[in-house]
Amino acid sequence: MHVRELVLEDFRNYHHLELAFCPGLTLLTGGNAQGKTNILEAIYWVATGRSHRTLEERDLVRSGEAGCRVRAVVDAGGRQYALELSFHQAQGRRFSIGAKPYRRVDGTDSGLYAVLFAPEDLELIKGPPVNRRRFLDEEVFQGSAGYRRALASYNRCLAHRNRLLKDAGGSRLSASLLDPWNRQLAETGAAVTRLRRQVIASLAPGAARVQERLTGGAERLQVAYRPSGSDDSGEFVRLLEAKAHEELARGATLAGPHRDELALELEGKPLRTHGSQGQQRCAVLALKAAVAEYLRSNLGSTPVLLLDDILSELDRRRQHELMIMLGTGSQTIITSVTQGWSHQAAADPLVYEVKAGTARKVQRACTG
Amino acid sequence: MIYPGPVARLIEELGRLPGVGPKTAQRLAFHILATDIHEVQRLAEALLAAKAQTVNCSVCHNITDVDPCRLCRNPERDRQLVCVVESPKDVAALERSHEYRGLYHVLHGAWSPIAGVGPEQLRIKELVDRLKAGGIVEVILATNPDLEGEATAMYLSRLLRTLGVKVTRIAHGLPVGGELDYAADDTIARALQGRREM
Repeated sequence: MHVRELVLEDFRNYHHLELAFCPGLTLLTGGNAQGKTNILEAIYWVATGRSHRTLEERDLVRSGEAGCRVRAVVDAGGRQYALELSFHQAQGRRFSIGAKPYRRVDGTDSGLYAVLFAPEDLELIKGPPVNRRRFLDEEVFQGSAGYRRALASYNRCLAHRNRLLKDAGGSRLSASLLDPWNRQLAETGAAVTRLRRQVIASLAPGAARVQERLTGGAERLQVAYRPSGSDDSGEFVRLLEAKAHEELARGATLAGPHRDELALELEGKPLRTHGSQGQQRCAVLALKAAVAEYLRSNLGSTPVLLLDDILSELDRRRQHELMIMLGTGSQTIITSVTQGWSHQAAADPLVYEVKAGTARKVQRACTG
Repeated sequence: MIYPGPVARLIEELGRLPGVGPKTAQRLAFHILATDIHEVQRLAEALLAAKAQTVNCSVCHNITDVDPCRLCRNPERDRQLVCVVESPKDVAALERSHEYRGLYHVLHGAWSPIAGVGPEQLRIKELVDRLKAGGIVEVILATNPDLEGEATAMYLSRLLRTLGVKVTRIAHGLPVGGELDYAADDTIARALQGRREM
Protein backbone atom coordinates (compact mmCIF):
# COMPACT_ATOMS: atom_id res chain seq x y z
CA MET A 1 0.00 0.00 0.00
CA HIS A 2 1.29 3.44 -0.83
CA VAL A 3 0.04 6.97 -1.43
CA ARG A 4 0.34 8.00 -5.10
CA GLU A 5 -1.20 11.40 -5.06
CA LEU A 6 -2.02 13.91 -2.40
CA VAL A 7 -4.19 16.99 -2.81
CA LEU A 8 -4.55 19.54 -0.03
CA GLU A 9 -7.14 22.28 -0.10
CA ASP A 10 -7.11 25.06 2.48
CA PHE A 11 -5.23 22.71 4.77
CA ARG A 12 -2.96 24.54 7.26
CA ASN A 13 -0.78 26.93 5.22
CA TYR A 14 -1.72 25.42 1.83
CA HIS A 15 -4.32 26.97 -0.41
CA HIS A 16 -4.00 24.25 -3.01
CA LEU A 17 -1.24 21.68 -3.27
CA GLU A 18 -0.87 18.59 -5.44
CA LEU A 19 1.93 16.13 -4.89
CA ALA A 20 2.82 12.86 -6.57
CA PHE A 21 4.47 10.15 -4.50
CA CYS A 22 6.12 6.83 -5.27
CA PRO A 23 6.84 3.71 -3.30
CA GLY A 24 10.15 3.88 -1.46
CA LEU A 25 11.62 6.98 0.12
CA THR A 26 10.36 10.54 -0.24
CA LEU A 27 12.14 13.46 1.35
CA LEU A 28 10.50 16.80 2.09
CA THR A 29 13.17 19.42 2.67
CA GLY A 30 13.05 23.14 3.30
CA GLY A 31 13.50 25.73 6.00
CA ASN A 32 11.57 25.97 9.23
CA ALA A 33 7.87 26.88 9.19
CA GLN A 34 7.47 26.31 5.44
CA GLY A 35 4.85 23.53 5.71
CA LYS A 36 6.78 20.23 5.65
CA THR A 37 5.10 18.79 8.70
CA ASN A 38 1.68 19.86 7.41
CA ILE A 39 2.05 17.41 4.53
CA LEU A 40 2.76 14.51 6.90
CA GLU A 41 -0.06 15.65 9.13
CA ALA A 42 -2.45 15.56 6.15
CA ILE A 43 -1.49 11.99 5.25
CA TYR A 44 -1.83 10.91 8.88
CA TRP A 45 -5.20 12.64 9.11
CA VAL A 46 -6.65 10.95 6.04
CA ALA A 47 -5.28 7.57 7.23
CA THR A 48 -6.38 7.70 10.86
CA GLY A 49 -8.78 10.63 11.28
CA ARG A 50 -6.41 12.15 13.84
CA SER A 51 -3.75 14.80 13.92
CA HIS A 52 -0.65 14.50 16.10
CA ARG A 53 -0.66 18.25 16.72
CA THR A 54 -4.23 19.12 17.58
CA LEU A 55 -7.48 17.68 18.84
CA GLU A 56 -9.46 20.50 17.22
CA GLU A 57 -10.03 19.90 13.54
CA ARG A 58 -10.69 23.56 12.94
CA ASP A 59 -6.97 24.11 13.60
CA LEU A 60 -6.34 22.27 10.34
CA VAL A 61 -8.24 24.85 8.31
CA ARG A 62 -6.26 27.60 6.59
CA SER A 63 -6.93 30.86 8.35
CA GLY A 64 -9.84 32.80 6.88
CA GLU A 65 -11.42 29.67 5.32
CA ALA A 66 -14.46 27.68 6.46
CA GLY A 67 -13.15 24.21 5.75
CA CYS A 68 -10.33 22.03 4.45
CA ARG A 69 -10.02 18.91 2.34
CA VAL A 70 -7.41 16.20 1.88
CA ARG A 71 -7.59 13.77 -1.00
CA ALA A 72 -5.20 10.85 -1.25
CA VAL A 73 -5.08 8.42 -4.14
CA VAL A 74 -3.72 5.18 -2.81
CA ASP A 75 -2.41 2.12 -4.58
CA ALA A 76 -3.13 -1.29 -3.10
CA GLY A 77 -1.32 -3.83 -5.21
CA GLY A 78 -2.20 -2.08 -8.45
CA ARG A 79 -5.76 -1.22 -7.47
CA GLN A 80 -6.12 2.54 -7.14
CA TYR A 81 -8.78 4.51 -5.34
CA ALA A 82 -9.22 7.87 -3.66
CA LEU A 83 -9.71 8.60 0.03
CA GLU A 84 -11.18 11.97 0.78
CA LEU A 85 -11.46 13.57 4.17
CA SER A 86 -12.83 17.03 4.70
CA PHE A 87 -13.76 19.22 7.59
CA HIS A 88 -16.12 22.14 7.43
CA GLN A 89 -17.11 24.51 10.24
CA ALA A 90 -20.83 23.99 9.60
CA GLN A 91 -20.97 20.48 8.11
CA GLY A 92 -18.35 18.84 10.29
CA ARG A 93 -16.29 15.96 9.02
CA ARG A 94 -16.89 13.90 5.89
CA PHE A 95 -14.97 10.87 4.75
CA SER A 96 -15.27 8.80 1.62
CA ILE A 97 -13.46 5.87 0.07
CA GLY A 98 -13.80 5.72 -3.70
CA ALA A 99 -16.59 8.35 -3.44
CA LYS A 100 -18.59 6.13 -1.07
CA PRO A 101 -19.20 7.87 2.26
CA TYR A 102 -17.96 6.26 5.47
CA ARG A 103 -18.76 7.33 8.98
CA ARG A 104 -15.39 6.49 10.49
CA VAL A 105 -11.88 7.06 9.18
CA ASP A 106 -10.32 3.67 9.59
CA GLY A 107 -7.60 1.59 7.99
CA THR A 108 -9.77 -1.52 8.19
CA ASP A 109 -12.04 0.11 5.60
CA SER A 110 -9.56 2.17 3.60
CA GLY A 111 -6.56 -0.17 3.67
CA LEU A 112 -4.30 2.80 4.45
CA TYR A 113 -2.37 2.52 7.70
CA ALA A 114 0.25 4.96 8.91
CA VAL A 115 2.88 5.07 11.63
CA LEU A 116 4.05 8.56 12.47
CA PHE A 117 7.36 9.38 14.16
CA ALA A 118 7.28 12.91 15.53
CA PRO A 119 9.03 15.05 18.16
CA GLU A 120 5.71 15.10 20.09
CA ASP A 121 6.09 11.35 20.68
CA LEU A 122 8.43 12.09 23.56
CA GLU A 123 5.25 12.70 25.56
CA LEU A 124 4.66 8.98 25.22
CA ILE A 125 7.47 8.53 27.71
CA LYS A 126 7.37 11.75 29.69
CA GLY A 127 3.61 12.10 29.91
CA PRO A 128 1.03 10.40 32.12
CA PRO A 129 -0.10 6.74 31.66
CA VAL A 130 -3.11 7.84 29.59
CA ASN A 131 -0.68 8.76 26.78
CA ARG A 132 0.63 5.21 26.70
CA ARG A 133 -2.86 3.71 26.78
CA ARG A 134 -3.85 5.97 23.90
CA PHE A 135 -0.76 4.81 22.03
CA LEU A 136 -1.93 1.20 22.43
CA ASP A 137 -5.55 1.91 21.55
CA GLU A 138 -4.98 4.17 18.57
CA GLU A 139 -1.65 3.23 17.08
CA VAL A 140 -0.85 -0.36 17.95
CA PHE A 141 -4.42 -1.60 17.58
CA GLN A 142 -5.19 0.30 14.38
CA GLY A 143 -6.76 -2.25 12.09
CA SER A 144 -8.10 -4.46 14.87
CA ALA A 145 -11.88 -4.26 14.72
CA GLY A 146 -12.14 -6.93 17.42
CA TYR A 147 -10.14 -4.83 19.86
CA ARG A 148 -12.11 -1.72 19.04
CA ARG A 149 -15.37 -3.53 19.80
CA ALA A 150 -14.00 -4.99 23.04
CA LEU A 151 -12.75 -1.60 24.20
CA ALA A 152 -15.99 0.19 23.28
CA SER A 153 -17.97 -2.39 25.20
CA TYR A 154 -15.68 -2.05 28.21
CA ASN A 155 -15.85 1.75 28.14
CA ARG A 156 -19.62 1.72 28.00
CA CYS A 157 -19.80 -0.69 30.91
CA LEU A 158 -17.32 1.46 32.84
CA ALA A 159 -19.50 4.54 32.27
CA HIS A 160 -22.56 2.67 33.58
CA ARG A 161 -20.72 1.44 36.63
CA ASN A 162 -19.15 4.82 37.43
CA ARG A 163 -22.53 6.46 37.19
CA LEU A 164 -23.96 3.86 39.55
CA LEU A 165 -21.15 4.45 42.07
CA LYS A 166 -21.46 8.20 41.79
CA ASP A 167 -25.25 8.18 42.17
CA ALA A 168 -24.90 6.13 45.35
CA GLY A 169 -23.34 9.26 46.86
CA GLY A 170 -21.01 7.31 49.13
CA SER A 171 -23.66 5.11 50.68
CA ARG A 172 -23.54 1.33 50.36
CA LEU A 173 -24.77 -0.31 47.18
CA SER A 174 -26.49 -3.66 47.59
CA ALA A 175 -24.89 -6.65 45.89
CA SER A 176 -27.97 -7.02 43.70
CA LEU A 177 -27.22 -3.61 42.20
CA LEU A 178 -23.46 -3.90 41.96
CA ASP A 179 -23.01 -7.55 40.94
CA PRO A 180 -24.42 -7.33 37.40
CA TRP A 181 -22.05 -4.48 36.57
CA ASN A 182 -19.10 -6.11 38.34
CA ARG A 183 -19.55 -9.24 36.29
CA GLN A 184 -19.91 -7.41 33.01
CA LEU A 185 -17.05 -5.02 33.71
CA ALA A 186 -14.90 -8.04 34.54
CA GLU A 187 -15.86 -9.88 31.36
CA THR A 188 -15.36 -6.97 29.01
CA GLY A 189 -12.27 -5.78 30.93
CA ALA A 190 -10.65 -9.22 30.91
CA ALA A 191 -11.10 -9.36 27.13
CA VAL A 192 -9.33 -5.99 26.71
CA THR A 193 -6.59 -7.05 29.14
CA ARG A 194 -5.93 -10.28 27.26
CA LEU A 195 -5.65 -8.47 23.92
CA ARG A 196 -3.34 -5.83 25.36
CA ARG A 197 -1.14 -8.50 26.96
CA GLN A 198 -0.82 -10.32 23.66
CA VAL A 199 0.03 -7.23 21.67
CA ILE A 200 2.60 -5.99 24.17
CA ALA A 201 4.22 -9.41 24.30
CA SER A 202 4.73 -9.32 20.56
CA LEU A 203 5.84 -5.67 20.56
CA ALA A 204 8.43 -5.90 23.36
CA PRO A 205 11.14 -8.01 21.69
CA GLY A 206 11.08 -5.83 18.57
CA ALA A 207 11.41 -2.64 20.59
CA ALA A 208 14.30 -4.09 22.60
CA ARG A 209 16.04 -5.16 19.41
CA VAL A 210 15.81 -1.70 17.83
CA GLN A 211 17.00 0.01 21.01
CA GLU A 212 19.95 -2.36 21.18
CA ARG A 213 20.97 -1.60 17.61
CA LEU A 214 20.53 2.13 17.99
CA THR A 215 22.72 2.16 21.07
CA GLY A 216 25.30 -0.30 19.79
CA GLY A 217 24.11 -3.04 22.14
CA ALA A 218 24.59 -0.89 25.21
CA GLU A 219 21.01 -0.60 26.44
CA ARG A 220 18.22 -3.05 27.04
CA LEU A 221 14.75 -1.56 26.73
CA GLN A 222 12.03 -3.39 28.61
CA VAL A 223 8.44 -2.93 27.60
CA ALA A 224 6.14 -4.48 30.16
CA TYR A 225 2.41 -4.58 30.68
CA ARG A 226 1.11 -3.67 34.14
CA PRO A 227 -2.61 -4.37 34.00
CA SER A 228 -4.81 -2.85 36.66
CA GLY A 229 -7.47 -5.53 36.14
CA SER A 230 -6.97 -9.14 35.17
CA ASP A 231 -7.15 -11.50 32.18
CA ASP A 232 -9.38 -13.70 34.25
CA SER A 233 -12.90 -12.42 34.85
CA GLY A 234 -13.24 -14.25 38.18
CA GLU A 235 -10.05 -12.69 39.46
CA PHE A 236 -11.18 -9.33 38.07
CA VAL A 237 -14.41 -9.49 40.09
CA ARG A 238 -12.42 -10.21 43.25
CA LEU A 239 -10.22 -7.16 42.55
CA LEU A 240 -13.34 -5.01 42.28
CA GLU A 241 -14.81 -6.44 45.45
CA ALA A 242 -11.62 -5.74 47.35
CA LYS A 243 -11.83 -2.09 46.34
CA ALA A 244 -15.58 -1.72 46.86
CA HIS A 245 -15.24 0.50 49.88
CA GLU A 246 -12.83 2.96 48.31
CA GLU A 247 -14.77 2.94 45.05
CA LEU A 248 -17.94 4.05 46.80
CA ALA A 249 -16.09 6.77 48.67
CA ARG A 250 -14.60 8.11 45.44
CA GLY A 251 -17.55 7.38 43.18
CA ALA A 252 -15.39 5.77 40.50
CA THR A 253 -14.13 2.40 39.32
CA LEU A 254 -10.58 1.86 40.54
CA ALA A 255 -9.48 -1.31 38.73
CA GLY A 256 -9.50 -2.11 35.04
CA PRO A 257 -7.94 -1.35 31.67
CA HIS A 258 -8.66 2.38 32.10
CA ARG A 259 -5.92 2.33 34.72
CA ASP A 260 -3.44 0.08 32.91
CA GLU A 261 0.18 1.08 32.57
CA LEU A 262 2.63 0.32 29.81
CA ALA A 263 5.92 0.31 31.69
CA LEU A 264 9.03 1.42 29.81
CA GLU A 265 12.29 0.68 31.56
CA LEU A 266 16.00 0.73 30.84
CA GLU A 267 17.93 -1.82 32.84
CA GLY A 268 15.08 -2.07 35.32
CA LYS A 269 14.76 1.68 35.88
CA PRO A 270 11.79 3.74 34.67
CA LEU A 271 12.73 5.69 31.55
CA ARG A 272 10.40 8.48 32.53
CA THR A 273 12.33 9.37 35.65
CA HIS A 274 15.77 7.88 35.02
CA GLY A 275 16.35 8.16 31.27
CA SER A 276 18.35 10.95 29.67
CA GLN A 277 16.77 12.96 26.87
CA GLY A 278 18.79 10.95 24.34
CA GLN A 279 17.77 7.63 25.84
CA GLN A 280 14.13 8.66 25.83
CA ARG A 281 14.30 9.70 22.19
CA CYS A 282 15.85 6.40 21.23
CA ALA A 283 13.22 4.46 23.14
CA VAL A 284 10.39 6.27 21.35
CA LEU A 285 11.95 5.43 17.99
CA ALA A 286 12.36 1.83 19.10
CA LEU A 287 8.71 1.59 20.14
CA LYS A 288 7.45 3.13 16.94
CA ALA A 289 9.68 0.95 14.80
CA ALA A 290 8.31 -2.07 16.69
CA VAL A 291 4.76 -0.90 15.95
CA ALA A 292 5.58 -0.61 12.25
CA GLU A 293 6.97 -4.13 12.31
CA TYR A 294 4.01 -5.45 14.26
CA LEU A 295 1.52 -3.90 11.84
CA ARG A 296 3.49 -5.18 8.87
CA SER A 297 3.21 -8.75 10.11
CA ASN A 298 -0.37 -8.50 11.38
CA LEU A 299 -2.20 -6.47 8.74
CA GLY A 300 -2.70 -7.47 5.20
CA SER A 301 -1.13 -4.14 4.31
CA THR A 302 2.20 -2.44 5.02
CA PRO A 303 1.82 0.86 6.88
CA VAL A 304 3.13 4.09 5.39
CA LEU A 305 5.91 5.46 7.61
CA LEU A 306 5.91 9.19 8.29
CA LEU A 307 9.05 10.59 9.93
CA ASP A 308 8.67 14.16 11.09
CA ASP A 309 12.03 15.77 11.67
CA ILE A 310 13.29 13.07 13.98
CA LEU A 311 16.42 12.00 12.16
CA SER A 312 18.17 15.29 12.79
CA GLU A 313 18.44 14.31 16.44
CA LEU A 314 20.44 11.20 15.59
CA ASP A 315 24.06 10.98 14.50
CA ARG A 316 24.81 9.57 11.06
CA ARG A 317 25.45 6.04 12.23
CA ARG A 318 22.11 5.89 14.04
CA GLN A 319 20.27 7.49 11.15
CA HIS A 320 21.69 4.76 8.99
CA GLU A 321 20.77 2.02 11.48
CA LEU A 322 17.22 3.30 11.83
CA MET A 323 16.67 3.54 8.10
CA ILE A 324 17.87 -0.03 7.65
CA MET A 325 15.60 -1.28 10.43
CA LEU A 326 12.58 0.52 9.15
CA GLY A 327 13.32 -1.27 5.96
CA THR A 328 12.56 -0.20 2.49
CA GLY A 329 8.95 -1.04 3.42
CA SER A 330 6.47 0.16 0.91
CA GLN A 331 6.63 3.89 1.50
CA THR A 332 8.49 6.20 3.85
CA ILE A 333 8.06 9.97 3.84
CA ILE A 334 10.53 12.09 5.79
CA THR A 335 10.76 15.76 6.61
CA SER A 336 14.16 17.28 7.27
CA VAL A 337 15.75 20.71 7.20
CA THR A 338 18.84 19.25 5.57
CA GLN A 339 19.04 16.42 3.09
CA GLY A 340 22.69 15.45 3.41
CA TRP A 341 22.13 12.27 5.36
CA SER A 342 19.68 10.71 2.95
CA HIS A 343 22.27 9.72 0.37
CA GLN A 344 23.76 7.07 2.54
CA ALA A 345 20.41 5.77 3.77
CA ALA A 346 18.69 5.36 0.45
CA ALA A 347 20.15 5.48 -2.98
CA ASP A 348 17.45 7.28 -4.84
CA PRO A 349 14.92 9.25 -2.84
CA LEU A 350 12.22 11.43 -4.33
CA VAL A 351 12.92 14.94 -3.04
CA TYR A 352 10.55 17.87 -2.70
CA GLU A 353 11.63 21.29 -1.60
CA VAL A 354 8.89 22.88 0.48
CA LYS A 355 8.72 26.65 0.61
CA ALA A 356 5.93 28.91 1.84
CA GLY A 357 3.00 26.71 0.93
CA THR A 358 4.40 25.28 -2.30
CA ALA A 359 6.42 22.19 -3.05
CA ARG A 360 8.86 21.76 -5.93
CA LYS A 361 10.20 18.43 -7.08
CA VAL A 362 13.98 18.62 -7.16
CA GLN A 363 15.02 15.04 -7.87
CA ARG A 364 13.86 11.97 -9.71
CA ALA A 365 10.73 11.45 -11.69
CA CYS A 366 8.13 9.16 -10.26
CA THR A 367 8.26 5.83 -12.02
CA GLY A 368 6.22 3.70 -9.61
CA MET B 1 -38.03 31.89 8.17
CA ILE B 2 -37.76 30.21 4.78
CA TYR B 3 -41.09 28.34 4.97
CA PRO B 4 -44.53 29.65 5.95
CA GLY B 5 -45.38 29.08 9.64
CA PRO B 6 -47.54 25.94 9.30
CA VAL B 7 -45.00 24.21 7.05
CA ALA B 8 -42.12 25.13 9.33
CA ARG B 9 -44.07 23.72 12.25
CA LEU B 10 -44.75 20.46 10.44
CA ILE B 11 -41.04 20.10 9.61
CA GLU B 12 -40.15 20.82 13.21
CA GLU B 13 -42.61 18.22 14.57
CA LEU B 14 -41.50 15.55 12.10
CA GLY B 15 -37.90 16.30 12.98
CA ARG B 16 -38.57 15.26 16.57
CA LEU B 17 -39.21 11.67 15.49
CA PRO B 18 -36.40 9.18 16.08
CA GLY B 19 -34.19 8.60 13.06
CA VAL B 20 -35.54 11.68 11.25
CA GLY B 21 -33.03 14.46 10.62
CA PRO B 22 -33.78 17.95 9.28
CA LYS B 23 -33.43 16.84 5.64
CA THR B 24 -35.75 13.86 6.00
CA ALA B 25 -38.25 15.97 7.96
CA GLN B 26 -38.31 18.45 5.08
CA ARG B 27 -38.79 15.69 2.51
CA LEU B 28 -41.64 14.12 4.51
CA ALA B 29 -43.32 17.50 4.98
CA PHE B 30 -43.31 18.23 1.25
CA HIS B 31 -44.58 14.75 0.54
CA ILE B 32 -47.49 15.41 2.88
CA LEU B 33 -48.16 18.81 1.26
CA ALA B 34 -48.28 17.17 -2.16
CA THR B 35 -50.66 14.45 -0.97
CA ASP B 36 -54.44 14.41 -1.39
CA ILE B 37 -56.23 15.95 1.61
CA HIS B 38 -58.17 12.73 2.36
CA GLU B 39 -54.99 10.73 2.61
CA VAL B 40 -53.50 13.30 4.94
CA GLN B 41 -56.66 13.12 7.02
CA ARG B 42 -56.33 9.34 7.24
CA LEU B 43 -52.73 9.69 8.42
CA ALA B 44 -53.67 12.30 11.03
CA GLU B 45 -56.53 10.15 12.30
CA ALA B 46 -54.32 7.08 12.43
CA LEU B 47 -51.79 8.99 14.53
CA LEU B 48 -54.41 10.15 17.00
CA ALA B 49 -56.25 6.84 17.14
CA ALA B 50 -53.08 4.86 17.77
CA LYS B 51 -52.33 7.08 20.72
CA ALA B 52 -55.87 7.54 22.05
CA GLN B 53 -57.14 4.00 21.65
CA THR B 54 -54.26 2.04 23.13
CA VAL B 55 -53.26 1.45 26.71
CA ASN B 56 -50.73 -0.74 28.43
CA CYS B 57 -52.23 -4.10 29.39
CA SER B 58 -52.80 -4.14 33.13
CA VAL B 59 -51.39 -7.67 33.30
CA CYS B 60 -48.41 -7.89 30.93
CA HIS B 61 -47.96 -4.16 30.12
CA ASN B 62 -47.84 -4.77 26.39
CA ILE B 63 -49.65 -2.15 24.30
CA THR B 64 -53.25 -3.13 23.61
CA ASP B 65 -56.63 -1.77 22.54
CA VAL B 66 -58.48 -4.03 25.01
CA ASP B 67 -57.53 -4.58 28.62
CA PRO B 68 -56.37 -7.24 29.45
CA CYS B 69 -54.75 -7.71 26.05
CA ARG B 70 -55.63 -10.43 23.54
CA LEU B 71 -52.54 -12.45 24.43
CA CYS B 72 -53.36 -12.42 28.14
CA ARG B 73 -57.01 -13.38 27.41
CA ASN B 74 -56.20 -16.17 24.99
CA PRO B 75 -57.12 -19.51 26.63
CA GLU B 76 -54.73 -21.36 24.30
CA ARG B 77 -51.64 -19.73 25.83
CA ASP B 78 -49.62 -21.57 28.45
CA ARG B 79 -50.20 -19.64 31.68
CA GLN B 80 -47.29 -21.28 33.49
CA LEU B 81 -44.75 -19.56 31.23
CA VAL B 82 -43.86 -15.86 31.23
CA CYS B 83 -41.36 -14.33 28.84
CA VAL B 84 -39.85 -11.02 30.01
CA VAL B 85 -38.93 -8.53 27.26
CA GLU B 86 -37.82 -4.90 27.07
CA SER B 87 -40.42 -3.53 24.67
CA PRO B 88 -43.64 -4.28 22.78
CA LYS B 89 -41.54 -4.64 19.62
CA ASP B 90 -39.86 -7.65 21.21
CA VAL B 91 -43.27 -9.26 21.81
CA ALA B 92 -44.03 -8.83 18.12
CA ALA B 93 -40.68 -10.38 17.18
CA LEU B 94 -41.24 -13.41 19.40
CA GLU B 95 -44.80 -13.84 18.10
CA ARG B 96 -43.56 -13.84 14.53
CA SER B 97 -41.48 -16.92 15.33
CA HIS B 98 -44.62 -18.93 16.26
CA GLU B 99 -42.36 -20.84 18.63
CA TYR B 100 -43.57 -19.44 21.90
CA ARG B 101 -46.98 -20.21 23.40
CA GLY B 102 -46.70 -18.66 26.86
CA LEU B 103 -47.46 -15.21 28.24
CA TYR B 104 -45.35 -12.05 28.27
CA HIS B 105 -44.21 -9.31 30.58
CA VAL B 106 -43.02 -6.03 29.07
CA LEU B 107 -40.54 -4.05 31.21
CA HIS B 108 -40.64 -0.89 29.07
CA GLY B 109 -36.91 -0.41 29.02
CA ALA B 110 -33.67 -1.83 30.37
CA TRP B 111 -31.48 -0.92 33.30
CA SER B 112 -29.18 1.88 32.13
CA PRO B 113 -27.38 3.96 34.76
CA ILE B 114 -26.03 6.28 32.03
CA ALA B 115 -29.57 7.08 30.89
CA GLY B 116 -30.68 7.44 34.51
CA VAL B 117 -32.95 4.39 34.28
CA GLY B 118 -32.78 2.15 37.33
CA PRO B 119 -34.55 -1.17 38.04
CA GLU B 120 -37.22 0.75 39.97
CA GLN B 121 -38.29 2.53 36.76
CA LEU B 122 -38.99 -0.75 34.98
CA ARG B 123 -42.18 -2.81 35.44
CA ILE B 124 -40.41 -5.16 37.81
CA LYS B 125 -42.64 -4.71 40.83
CA GLU B 126 -45.60 -5.63 38.63
CA LEU B 127 -43.78 -8.78 37.54
CA VAL B 128 -43.07 -9.77 41.12
CA ASP B 129 -46.76 -9.26 41.96
CA ARG B 130 -47.75 -11.51 39.07
CA LEU B 131 -45.43 -14.24 40.30
CA LYS B 132 -46.62 -13.91 43.87
CA ALA B 133 -50.22 -14.35 42.68
CA GLY B 134 -49.16 -17.89 41.73
CA GLY B 135 -49.57 -20.23 38.77
CA ILE B 136 -46.35 -19.26 36.99
CA VAL B 137 -43.68 -21.96 36.89
CA GLU B 138 -41.01 -20.56 34.60
CA VAL B 139 -39.81 -17.05 33.71
CA ILE B 140 -37.81 -16.70 30.50
CA LEU B 141 -35.57 -13.62 30.47
CA ALA B 142 -35.49 -12.34 26.88
CA THR B 143 -33.96 -8.89 27.35
CA ASN B 144 -31.47 -7.84 24.67
CA PRO B 145 -28.00 -9.43 24.67
CA ASP B 146 -26.29 -6.06 25.25
CA LEU B 147 -24.79 -4.62 28.47
CA GLU B 148 -28.06 -3.07 29.61
CA GLY B 149 -30.23 -6.08 28.77
CA GLU B 150 -27.74 -8.41 30.38
CA ALA B 151 -27.59 -6.31 33.58
CA THR B 152 -31.39 -6.33 33.68
CA ALA B 153 -31.46 -10.11 33.28
CA MET B 154 -28.86 -10.61 36.02
CA TYR B 155 -30.78 -8.36 38.37
CA LEU B 156 -34.05 -10.17 37.65
CA SER B 157 -32.64 -13.67 37.98
CA ARG B 158 -31.33 -12.86 41.44
CA LEU B 159 -34.62 -11.30 42.48
CA LEU B 160 -36.98 -13.88 40.98
CA ARG B 161 -35.17 -16.95 42.23
CA THR B 162 -36.21 -16.03 45.76
CA LEU B 163 -39.82 -16.43 44.65
CA GLY B 164 -39.40 -20.12 43.88
CA VAL B 165 -39.87 -19.97 40.11
CA LYS B 166 -37.57 -21.43 37.50
CA VAL B 167 -35.62 -18.62 35.79
CA THR B 168 -34.09 -19.15 32.34
CA ARG B 169 -32.25 -16.88 29.89
CA ILE B 170 -32.68 -17.16 26.13
CA ALA B 171 -29.53 -18.44 24.44
CA HIS B 172 -27.27 -16.15 22.43
CA GLY B 173 -24.98 -17.35 19.76
CA LEU B 174 -24.51 -17.67 16.06
CA PRO B 175 -27.29 -16.42 13.84
CA VAL B 176 -29.10 -19.16 11.96
CA GLY B 177 -28.03 -19.15 8.33
CA GLY B 178 -24.87 -17.23 9.21
CA GLU B 179 -21.31 -18.32 8.67
CA LEU B 180 -18.83 -18.88 11.46
CA ASP B 181 -16.00 -16.88 9.90
CA TYR B 182 -18.22 -13.82 9.51
CA ALA B 183 -19.32 -13.76 13.16
CA ALA B 184 -17.81 -11.24 15.58
CA ASP B 185 -15.33 -12.59 18.16
CA ASP B 186 -17.61 -11.86 21.11
CA THR B 187 -20.53 -13.59 19.39
CA ILE B 188 -18.41 -16.68 18.88
CA ALA B 189 -17.20 -16.53 22.49
CA ARG B 190 -20.82 -16.41 23.69
CA ALA B 191 -21.81 -19.24 21.38
CA LEU B 192 -19.00 -21.40 22.79
CA GLN B 193 -20.04 -20.63 26.36
CA GLY B 194 -23.61 -21.59 25.51
CA ARG B 195 -22.75 -24.83 23.69
CA ARG B 196 -24.81 -27.94 24.39
CA GLU B 197 -24.26 -31.64 24.22
CA MET B 198 -25.66 -33.58 21.31
